[in-house]
Amino acid sequence: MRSSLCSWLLLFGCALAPVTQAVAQAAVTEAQAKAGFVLNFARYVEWPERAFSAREAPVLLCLLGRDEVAAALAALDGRQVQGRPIAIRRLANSDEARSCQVLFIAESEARRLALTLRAVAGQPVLTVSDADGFIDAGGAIGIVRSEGRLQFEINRLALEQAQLKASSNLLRLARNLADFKGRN
Amino acid sequence: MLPFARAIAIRLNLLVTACGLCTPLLAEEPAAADASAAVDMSLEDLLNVEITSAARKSQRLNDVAAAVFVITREDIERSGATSIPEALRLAPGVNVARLANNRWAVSVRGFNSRFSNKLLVLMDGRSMYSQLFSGVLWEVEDTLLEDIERIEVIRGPGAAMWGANAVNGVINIITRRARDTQGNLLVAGAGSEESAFASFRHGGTAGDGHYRVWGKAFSRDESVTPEGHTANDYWRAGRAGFRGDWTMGGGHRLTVSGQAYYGPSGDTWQVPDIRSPAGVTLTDVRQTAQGGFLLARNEWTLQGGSEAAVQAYVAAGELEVAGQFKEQRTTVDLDFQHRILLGERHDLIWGLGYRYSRDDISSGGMISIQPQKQGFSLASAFIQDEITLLPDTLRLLLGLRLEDNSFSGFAPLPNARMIWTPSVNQSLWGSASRALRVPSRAELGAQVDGSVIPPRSPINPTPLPILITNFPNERDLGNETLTAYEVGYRHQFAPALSADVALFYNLYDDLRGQTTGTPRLVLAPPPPYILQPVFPGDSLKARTYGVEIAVDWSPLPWWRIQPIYSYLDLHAWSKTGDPGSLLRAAQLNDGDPQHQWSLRSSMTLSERQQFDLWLRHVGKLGDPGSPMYVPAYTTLDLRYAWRPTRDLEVSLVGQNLLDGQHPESVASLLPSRNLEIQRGYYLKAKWQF
Repeated sequence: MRSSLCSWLLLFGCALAPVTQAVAQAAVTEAQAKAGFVLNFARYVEWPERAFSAREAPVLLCLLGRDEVAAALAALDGRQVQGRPIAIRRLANSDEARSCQVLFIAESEARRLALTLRAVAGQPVLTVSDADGFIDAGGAIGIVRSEGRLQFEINRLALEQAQLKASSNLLRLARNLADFKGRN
Repeated sequence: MLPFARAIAIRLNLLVTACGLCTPLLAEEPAAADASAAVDMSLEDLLNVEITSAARKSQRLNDVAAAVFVITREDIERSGATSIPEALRLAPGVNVARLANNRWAVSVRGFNSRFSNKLLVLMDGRSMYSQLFSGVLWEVEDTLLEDIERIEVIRGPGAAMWGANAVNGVINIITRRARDTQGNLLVAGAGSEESAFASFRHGGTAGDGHYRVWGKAFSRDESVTPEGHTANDYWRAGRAGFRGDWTMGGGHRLTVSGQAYYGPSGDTWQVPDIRSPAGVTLTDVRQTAQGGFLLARNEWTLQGGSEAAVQAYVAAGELEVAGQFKEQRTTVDLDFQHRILLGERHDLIWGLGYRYSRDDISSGGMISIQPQKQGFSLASAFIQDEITLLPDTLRLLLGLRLEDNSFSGFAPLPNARMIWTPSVNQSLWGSASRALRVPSRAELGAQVDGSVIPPRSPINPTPLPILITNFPNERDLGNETLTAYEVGYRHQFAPALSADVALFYNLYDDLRGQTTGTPRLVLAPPPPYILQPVFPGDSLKARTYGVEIAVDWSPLPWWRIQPIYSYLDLHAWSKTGDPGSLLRAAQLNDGDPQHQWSLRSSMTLSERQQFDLWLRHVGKLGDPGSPMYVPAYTTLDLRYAWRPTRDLEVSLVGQNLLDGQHPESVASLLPSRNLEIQRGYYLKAKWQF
């Protein structure tokens, strides 16, 4: 029995031998990566002109709920997208969301998802969340985790109803659309 | 009765239940200084970033007022487990004992046996609980492991939410959405105990939705007897299934799924025999399980923002042990659930359910089940209000379920829970609840030959053999009841370190014991013997208490360590002096390990390589000399996985490496021989294309 165990451990040892060094992880947290996704969504989605009050009006990125993703998003304040600066606004409730261009709903707000989405229905608001099943609930873009990586899903019907146009690049990379295969 | 359990489970139990309170754990953490590095990445680059975050799971759990442990798909993959019961070893408070290569005994917080009857198991809202034995036949229920999104293991009574039989726990198996399983997947492998296995899945789009179809087949090797002889516990099974998810007009979301299976498995029974000098005849039996189910669920949002769901399923199956019994069963189940947010304080869920199950059981040999055909109906209604007493700090959950079933009648199942979140990274919860187990079809109608005491032996000095036979109860058999008290505490010490502790104190009454009847002489047909009847009765009481601890720690970004520990103290006693009842109480007292621990280490050595280690210890059952005695064992599983390309993974897994063979439990109810589990290894390839 013992010798058999030893040969086992040896076998695993050999398998590990070529591993010279454990991989060094890039210092990107999940929250930062999600913020990176949101910034990219803001770059690749076109709003109708009426969504903005003035030519130089900022892109209003509203945050509902508080978690580390919302904290990472707050760091986007002042960045430029589509020739406009990003302005961050933290919301206390969904009633204030109608004037936003991007609405990020933190997972902590998932229980009020239906109410929140109803509050912005028909408005040119890009809704984004990492809550479970976000696009099923009627959200526009959901950030999901799979195999240790982040991906995103697009609800084209929701974009259409919000009069938003997503670039083909964005649609091409969405996990649930186009030619995505495997990876799950 | 599990109303849209899949869809609702995580939201009810992990998010919804939680979120009134939850200012998430890490809210106060400032965004890291180098955040700009991530936000300036392109979408293509972001899609390739590897995310390691041990904190995530506990973060979502922080607001749940129950002892919940979530086993993720990644956990299952990295454990090397090849079946659902093996994967359940990952959770604290769960006792998984492998009786043979095709049979398991799985329980939560005590009373373990092959037909552990105090545990409710659901897959996507469909009950896997067998009406015949009141337990789960783990060799019958299965799915493609790669399709499992997560397994929620809820320790403690869940009866107010999930219905009767959710006495000691609820296991909720949730499969992935069809759109998460697009493309093709091929898994194949072979090994010493896992002789050969293969699975295939194809996912595609259909209209406004997605679907997948899958199939799997395997053949397992036999285990061994304590003497090292090959046993007769082969197992082969084939299974195919599908799932489709569609978004319909008006915000309706439709899910349809189904499965068909066929699987023969072997066993050797020690059939009581009055003609045999030893009192038993070893008989090889062949069990065949076949059947399938079809499930549909619709969820939608009503005007005003409340959410509703309706689910229906039909399941039909046949379970045959050749020469002993054949059960044919058809079950229809219908559920409705509605969730309303009332103001800022009340989160209300109510629902209705109905189930009807009809069987046709033919029996022979040592088993006789009467009447041959019987129906079982169960109607239920429940309501749960989650009240926010102090925003972000204190919540109260009150729940009540009313059930009426055709076996044991009407019963109320109340539940109260409270959770206090003094800070964003810790929570303290407590609960008091009542649950019950409904008698099974077999307890109410089965006559089973239990054992033979040969003549002129120490306990039978007479010249005739004594046949002990279990008869169904002459009067109505009631429910087993539980009153349970629990407290739990969770703390997120740092983003990479969290701990979860739960304590419980359970009081059981009317547990199934035995009443010994009057012996009588049976002369015809010859040979003559003494018949000693025993009847099931509600003559036992029990008290359990224990603690479960789970720690999740990532000392390095690529290394995760998960120790768990479970302690259980079970004391059962008889309310009567009946010898049968005393014996049954002694069996319960020896049926569970007092200590269990396991340590898992998961190393992501590089983007292409993983190395996983899993050390497990299970304490002894009973004491030497007890018929239930099983020595303590410690064992080790190792897994090494290599990805030559992103879509292909090859893994080598070694299981039970610390000994050549060991026993994990003894047979109960059915007279199987005691077998031992062997060291095993397998090689597996997984290809996505």
